[in-house]
Amino acid sequence: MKRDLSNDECNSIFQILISKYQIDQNAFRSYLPGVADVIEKHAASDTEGGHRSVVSQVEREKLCNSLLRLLSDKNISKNEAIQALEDCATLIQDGSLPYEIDRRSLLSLIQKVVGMPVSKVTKTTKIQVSGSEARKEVAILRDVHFDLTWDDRLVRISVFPEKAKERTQALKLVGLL
Amino acid sequence: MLSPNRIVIDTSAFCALILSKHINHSQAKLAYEHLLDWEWELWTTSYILLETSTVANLEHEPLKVFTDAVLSNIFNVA
Repeated sequence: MKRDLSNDECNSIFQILISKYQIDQNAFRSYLPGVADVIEKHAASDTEGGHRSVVSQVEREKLCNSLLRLLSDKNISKNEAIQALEDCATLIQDGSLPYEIDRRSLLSLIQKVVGMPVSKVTKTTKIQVSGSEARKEVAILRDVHFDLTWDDRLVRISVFPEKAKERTQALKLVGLL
Repeated sequence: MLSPNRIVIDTSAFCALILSKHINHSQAKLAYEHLLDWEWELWTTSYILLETSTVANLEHEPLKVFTDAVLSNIFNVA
């Protein structure tokens, strides 16, 4: 006998569909145009809190592997650095960024994109990376936030030097004794 | 900004962070750095702070550094 889906099951199915849509919007639309319309309408109504990206286990592994491969290459281009940072943003929202990717790695990728070390920035600065419409803001580091499109493409990098001071203050208790 | 994740930092976590020879110190430090960087909402209680200062035997200057760090804008103390 058929039963109705619970709210949790509906949410879970919707999150899976959103993840698939984010990977390749055009291919998704060609198969399921009606569902793509619903997802886009949902994204358009989600103006206040933004949508947190969630990825499946297979996508998570794929993203982590490509990210670690990129980071092991010392001579990555600016575009590759942007790609790596976008992948990091997706994994951070998913709560699955590998611990190997530490602050230093992220700062060096950001430096590739911005063209100068973040530590040299002395006042709040916003750096435009692309002309797309930003739909959400994600903290990559406490003092560096990204404005992203709905599908996690990088639009703008914001640097907040005063937040770096907060971080330093909060870290003073580490290894106190 | 996306709605933040929340986490409670308890006495064991504080002790692992404060005591450099604690068995979980490196792991705790790494986790704490990530929580700070990804702007998780950090919560603790006055009881946890009191218990931490007793268990870790914090005196004078270390106690001041600890309270200054915890009472900065980063932590929410209930």
